[in-house]
Parts: sequence; C-alpha cells; structure tokens
Amino acid sequence: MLLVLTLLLPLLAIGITASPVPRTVAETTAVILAIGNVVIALVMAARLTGSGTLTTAPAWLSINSFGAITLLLETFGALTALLFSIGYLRIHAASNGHKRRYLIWLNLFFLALYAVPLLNEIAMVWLALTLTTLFSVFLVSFERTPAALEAGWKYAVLTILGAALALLGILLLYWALSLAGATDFTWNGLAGAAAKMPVRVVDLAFLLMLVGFGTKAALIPLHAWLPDAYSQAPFPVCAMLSILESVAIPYVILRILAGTQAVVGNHDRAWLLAFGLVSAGGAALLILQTHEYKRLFAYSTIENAGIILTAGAMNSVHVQQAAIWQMIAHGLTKPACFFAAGMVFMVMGKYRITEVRGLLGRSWSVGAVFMLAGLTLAGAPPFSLFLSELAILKTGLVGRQAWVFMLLAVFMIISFCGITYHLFRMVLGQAPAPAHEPPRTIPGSCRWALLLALAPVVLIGWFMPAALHHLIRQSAAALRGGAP
Amino acid sequence: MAHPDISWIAALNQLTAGFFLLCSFGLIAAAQVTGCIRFYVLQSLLLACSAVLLGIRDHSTDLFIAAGIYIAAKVILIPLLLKRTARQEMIARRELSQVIGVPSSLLIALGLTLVAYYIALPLTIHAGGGARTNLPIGLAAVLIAVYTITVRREALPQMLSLLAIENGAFFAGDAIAPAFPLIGELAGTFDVLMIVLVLGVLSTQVHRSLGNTAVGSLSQLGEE
Amino acid sequence: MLRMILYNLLQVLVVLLASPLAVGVLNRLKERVQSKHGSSIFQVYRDIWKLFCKDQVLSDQSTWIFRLTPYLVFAAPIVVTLLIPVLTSYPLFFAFMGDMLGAGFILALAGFFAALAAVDSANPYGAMGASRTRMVGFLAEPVFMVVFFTVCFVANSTIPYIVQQTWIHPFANFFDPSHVLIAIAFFMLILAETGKIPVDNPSGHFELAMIDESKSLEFSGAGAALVKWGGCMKFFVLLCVFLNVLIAPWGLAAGKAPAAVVLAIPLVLLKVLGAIMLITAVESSLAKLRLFRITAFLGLALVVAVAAMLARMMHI
Repeated sequence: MLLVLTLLLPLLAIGITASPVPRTVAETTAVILAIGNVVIALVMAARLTGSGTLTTAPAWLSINSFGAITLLLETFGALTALLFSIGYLRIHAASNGHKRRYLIWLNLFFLALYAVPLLNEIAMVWLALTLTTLFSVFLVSFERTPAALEAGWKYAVLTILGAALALLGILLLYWALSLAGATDFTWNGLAGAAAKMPVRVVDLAFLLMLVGFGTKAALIPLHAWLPDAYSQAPFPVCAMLSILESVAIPYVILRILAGTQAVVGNHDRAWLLAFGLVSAGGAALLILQTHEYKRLFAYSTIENAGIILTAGAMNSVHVQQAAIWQMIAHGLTKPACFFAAGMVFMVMGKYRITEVRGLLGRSWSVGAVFMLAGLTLAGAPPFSLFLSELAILKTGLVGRQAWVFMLLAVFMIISFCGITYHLFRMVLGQAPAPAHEPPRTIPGSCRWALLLALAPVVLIGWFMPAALHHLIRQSAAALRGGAP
Repeated sequence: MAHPDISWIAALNQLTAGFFLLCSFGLIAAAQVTGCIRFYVLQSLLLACSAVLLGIRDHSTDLFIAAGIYIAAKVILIPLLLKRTARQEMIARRELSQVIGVPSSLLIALGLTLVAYYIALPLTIHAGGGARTNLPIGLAAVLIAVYTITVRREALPQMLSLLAIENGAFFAGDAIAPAFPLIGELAGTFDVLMIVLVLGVLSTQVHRSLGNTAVGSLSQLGEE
Repeated sequence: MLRMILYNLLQVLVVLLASPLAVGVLNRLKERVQSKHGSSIFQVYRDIWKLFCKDQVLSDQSTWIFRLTPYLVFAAPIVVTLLIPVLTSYPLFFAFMGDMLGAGFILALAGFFAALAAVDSANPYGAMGASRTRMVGFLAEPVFMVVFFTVCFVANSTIPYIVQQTWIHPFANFFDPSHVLIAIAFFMLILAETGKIPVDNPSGHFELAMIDESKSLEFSGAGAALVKWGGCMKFFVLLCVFLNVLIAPWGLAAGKAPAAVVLAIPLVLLKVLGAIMLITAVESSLAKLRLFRITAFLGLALVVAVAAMLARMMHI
C-alpha cells in the first residue's frame, strides 16, 4: 500500500497543478505532498529494518533496503528541490503558465525517479529511468534561450541513445534468463537464475547496460552532454539530476551487478571498476580547470558517482557498505550545494567563477552558507562526506586491490584541492564594485530549502542513527547476493 | 493447423532481415527528411513482418501481438505525431547536411555490420534459427543507427536514428527473447512515443528560436 | 554438337535483331509516360539503316583507334552473347569458352576503346564524356566484382548456366537475402552502365550534361550505326544476364528440340519487356542525379552488393 501511495502522491500533485486552482494553493499542496512522500519513505525504511523486503504486487512493486535508502534520498532531494523551485520560479519564470508547466514536469520527473527503486520488473525499471530523461528535457531547456535549447537537445539525444543501448542489454539479459529456464524477469528471478546463465551473453548484456546507464550517469568518457545541461538547467533541476546520477543509476547498476556476479562476477566488476576509476579521476581533473561554479558541482557529481561505482564493484562487504554510505552522504550534500550556488547566482547574477569575487563582502549569509556547502562537498572534516570517503579508503586499503584505493585517494585529494581553490577564490577577496541594480533579495522558500538540505548533512556527520546503519548493512548484504 | 514449412519461413525471415539492414543504410543515405521518415516506417514494417514470421514459426501469440503494436505505434502513430509536433521540419524539402559524406558513411556502416557480426557470432551458439539471423542484423542496425546520430546534423534525422536503435534492439529481441513479457514491448513502445512527442516539441522550439534545426552546428556551449 | 552451335548462333541472331526493338520500346514507353505521342518502336532500326546508307567522315587527325572502335563496340556484345544463357537453360557450344568474369572483361574492353576513341577524335566533349564514363566505370567496377564474387560463392561456379540453376533449386533459395540483394545491386549497375536516368539522361541533347552519349558524337555513317547497334546489344545482353541468370530463369528452353528453343524466343522477349517497363518506371519517377551524387548512388549499390556477400558468408 505504501508503495502505491509513493507513486500516487506525485500524480496527485500533477493533477492539482494542472487544475485551475490558484498558483499558491498548487504550490503549497505540492510541497505538502512532497513532505508526505518523505514521511512514507521514512516509514518504509523503518519497516524494512525489520523485514528484508516490502512487496505490494509480487510481479510489480517491491522494495528492499537498498531501494529504501535510494527512495529516501530521492524524496528528500525532491522536497528541498521543490521548495527551492518555488522561490526560484518567482524570480525567473516568464509567466504563470510557464511556472505551472515547470511544476508539472518536475513532478513527473519525481514520479519516474521514485518508480526506479519501487519497480520489480527490470524492463519497467529501464522504462522508469528512460522517462526520467524524457520528463527532465523540458526542465533542462526551461529558459528557452537558444543555449538552453541546445543543451536540452544534446541531453535528450545522448541520454536516449544510452537508454536504447541499455534496452538491448536488457533484452540480452532476458535471453540469458530464459536460457537459464527462468520465467519471471524480476530482480528476484535474476537472483534465482543467476548461476545458470550463459557467460558470454550476460557479459555483453552487462556491458551494454553499463554503457547505456553510464551515458545517463555521465560517466567519463560518456559525459559529453553534462557540462551544457548543467550550465543551462535551473539550479533545483541540477540538484535533482545529481540525485539521478549519483543515487538512482548506481542503485540500478549495482543491483544488476549483484544479479550477474554469480556468473561473470570478476569480469563485470572489472568493467565497472574501469568506468568508475576513469570517471573519478577524469572528473577530478575537470574540476581543476572548470570556469563555472555550476559545472564545478556537476563534475563533482561524476566524481562521486565514479567513487560509488568503484567501491560498489569491490568484492568485499565492508567496502560496499562504505559505498552505500558515500551514496547517502553525497545524495544529501549535493542538493544543498546547488541551492547555495543558486543563491550565489541570485546575489551576483554571474555564472563564471572569475566573475564572482568577495562573496562574503557582498552578502555575508550567502557567502558563509556557500562556503559551508562547498566544504562539506569537498570532504572537509566534520561532515558526512569526509566520514564516508574515509570509510571507503579505510576498508579498501586493507583489501586485496589496495592500488585502486590509493588512486581513489589521489583523486579525492585532487578534487578537494580543486573545489576549495575555486571556493576560496569566490568567497574571499575584494568584492567588485556593486552592480547598477541592487542585489536581489532571496525568497524565503529558497532559504528554507537550503537550511533543510544542510541539516542532515551536518547532523549525520556527528551522529549516525542506528536504524540507518542497520539499513546500510542490510543493503550491502543484499548486494552480496544474499537475502534480498 | 498445418505445420508451416520451416525452411520457407526462415528464408523469408532472412529476406526481411536483409531489407531491414538496407533500411538502416537508407537512413544514412537519405537526402531529405521525408526520405528518412519513409525508411524508418519501412524498417518498422519489416520489424513487424519479422515478428509475424517468427510468431508463425514458434506458434507464439505474443509475437503477433507485438507485431500489431509495432504497426499501430511505429507505422501509424509516429508519422501522425511527427506531423503534429514537427510539421515545418517534415515538409522542409532541402538537402540534409552530414558531417561525413554519404559514400564514406556507407562504407563505415558496412564495417559496423562486420563488427556486429563478430560480436554476435559467439552468442549464436546458444540460439535457435531465428536468432542466428536476427541477432547480428539487429546489433548491426543498432550500431549503424548510433553512427547515424553522430553524423547527422539535423534534428529530425537524429531523432529517427534514435528510434531506429530501438527498432534494431527489438529486431534482435524478438528472436532471442520471444517470450519477452508483453509489458516490455509496451514499455518500449511507450518510450518511443514519448521520445517522438518530447523531441518533436523540442525540435519545434529549436526551429522557432534559431530558424533551422541544424542542431549539429549549434556551438554556443563550448566544452571548457 | 552441330545443333548446339546452331542454337548458339540463333542466340546471337536474336540479340542482333531484337536489341534495337528493346531500345525502341523503351523510348516509346518513356515518351508515352510523359504524355508525348512518341516515335515508332521501330525507329531505332530506321536510324541504324539511315546511318549505314550515309558516308563515313573520318578526321585526318584521328588514328587507327578511332577506326577500329566501332567494330569492337559492335563485336563485344556478340561475343558475350555466346557465353550467356539467352534462350536455353542448358549450356551451349561456346558456354565454357569464358565465364562471367570473362564476359565482363570483354564488355570492359569495348568500353575502354570507346573512351580512347572519344579522346582520339579531339572533340572536347568526347574527352569530357570519356572521363565521366570512366568515373562512373571506376565506381561501378567494385560493384561488378563483388556481385560476381558473391554469385560465384553461391553457385560454386562462374559459369552463368550453372549459376542460374542454383537460385531456384530449392525454390526457398529464391528468397535468400543474398539473391535479392544481388539482384538489386545488379539492377542499379545496369542503370549506371547503360546510362539510364538516375545516372545519365539518354534522351538529353545537351552536350555539357552528357555522360555516355558524348563519346559517340564524332562517329558518322557506318561507324555511328555500329556504335549505336552495339549500345543496343549491350543493353539487351545486360538485361538477359539480369533476367536469365539472376532473377527469373524461367521460360528458357529446357528441351533440345528446335520447337522448344524457338518457343523460348517470345517468352524471353516478354521477360525483357517486363524489365523494360520496370526501367521505364524508374526513369520516369526519378530525377537525374548531380554528377557528384553518382558516387552516393554507386556507393549504395556497392553496399548492397557487399551486404549480399556478407549475408552469404555469414550464412544468415
């Protein structure tokens, strides 16, 4: 029931936004429904600490603890993004109709995103992931400038291309399943038939899916669309795209790996490791040379997706636990970063790093908050990303493939240096002469969104709830092909 | 029901596969948007033909239904949707530009066909008669369509190549996974329709703001 | 033995006599499609006769090549006729004298001399036409080769009489993708080699736009007649190869009785008529390609041919 409800609430929000109620009413209900989604996700997570899976219709909807973590991050990100959007739209939307369309597309995007961890049939998971692309195309090209349309087009074409390749992979996987005698094409069916599938078919299928979903996650070298899409999309959309890339897609890839590892384990792990390392390293270098602070955070998303996949590919339960932790920490931090960046844009009106100077002098609160968000993302000590990165290195360096984690450590240090370098350049220094127009005031809902998003980032750095820890352990066990 | 003659059906299916591949080449070589659309529709029709032939061979009702879905969605609905969302592009009668010329593109596509064959060859040991034909051809169609996207500069041909990838995937899929749940077919079809809808509207927006849809020559957003 | 030789000569006779008719019918049909009244289907015979009655004018600047070429252009299709099945489905006396590759070489020899003669005449249009024909020829050559090789793969033989039987025994072979693809590629080749519309406009009278015709502008009298007749025969021979070897080896005489062979004549002419109608449809519905799009056209033909070969080698 809870699972159906999760999907119903965004639908309800779409219906209300599309109906001719006053705009403020529509916005308020959308926010309330988003809060409802977070609550539902929390309840689900709480129930899952007891039992392994929640199932509504066995062939359709089912969620395990890994899925619950994913869903929790998605719903929380969605809530804050929605809050931020309301303030953002007040400044940037051209007309009322434009705002409504934005909210409808945003909720459709949420719907598809929530469906990813809930669905049980692998083909439907694929469909949900593809729909996240299609629903977010108009969000990316929201500004309707030629540049935004170009970015939207590139984003759409490349990610749909990826989805189509993944479709071929899924068909091949299904072939392998039917050759192994399985009849249901669900996650459970995959786990059940895994050992009997022919190796070469599964190998090709996994590679196709990795390339396909990797294009959507903008893994290097499949990231051609990413700089443009992020530099043109509104800030809350960037936040949600980050959640998609660093939470939902690693969820899918790691679950597929969990299913196929019984057949081609080391082979697939190697592919995943290669993609993850190249992404983490390449993105760390891209961070160093970027000129826009939005792209800075975008590259950091790739880097983290790379780290999560690398660590998730390891054949060790402790490293995989750390990978899930990293996923949580990053999934909570990144929206806050984009919201802070959005505020910087509201204050300064510029995208380029070199054009933003002396943020603290211009607006003390925005500067401080941006500094805080940036430092948490860079992995500075008392915050959650620091702990999770440390956990990955600590668990990984004692394992057999220590060289991987030495490389990862280097990449993490590079990206730490890159982010803090750009951060300090922006925040400190002499503020340029004030522009002709006075700085725009920041809408209240944006402030609230940022505070709400930052709260768990800081809190989890200090205090890890026992239930969450339990969930992480369960998820890592599920990734080992054990109990779901 | 009389038992259908397998060799005949296999031969007809091979023929369909041959024409299917030719349509992929056609999508590269077509000089006008209307030509691209015709090749796409023809390819979808051949996809349905192959599904029917395999359905007769395997006595699979699912494949007949799949063929019906292909015809309804890809042969009928998509041209209608395109007409609705991207009218200016469809009736534009200018020659399409390409990054790499047609003859070289065709040769590259031939090379891709060989690559697809060598990828698919080791897999076909698991396969029955249909997959031996459909798997390499479907894979080749996918690769060629991916290549087409990269060389085409304009919006609609790019979109049609995207859809052609889906065709290739299902062409292989019909043979290797005949019992692929219908829900999967429906998912794929729904996806295709959404692609047409979204990209069609987007291309119209691009057209309105730029005056043409040579998306390949958009270069406002350079890589850093 | 003697009978076989006689039948072989009968074949040559049929090609000699029927080929102008085929071209005449094609011209007439095309003009009917364009809603013109059109010239008589026997106009080509009259043209040839008229040319034979006229004096031959030879430039004193030209060499023996120019004098020799009409005879070569006329003789080459006749020699090829000896090698291919026109009327019978069993090999005739000269059938094993050369295979399909040999036939291709003989036709290419005539084409080579035609091009040389065009340059030899020192007419600027001749040189232009020769270079264009060579361009088309170069592009068509690989297609020819691939088609022949594929056919040889299929039939394990290069003798056309043997090839024709493999397509229809068993009949499912007829739907073999390599067969159908080869037929398409070869049809595109015929259009290119005989200067039909997507490549060249045979009824154009504008020298600058000509490809094939401009080579023969300088011939006069008997020479012009021979060149024209040779062109008709080349067209007819290629159609015969297309129909009897590649597409539809039906209607050929299977028995050795004279009656069967004579009966095959109208049947073959009927098939040729069908092919001519197909060409008319193509020529009337397509526009002539720009010169530099011809590469794309023949490139497509090559792709089709290679696809056929791949289909064969992969056993798909």
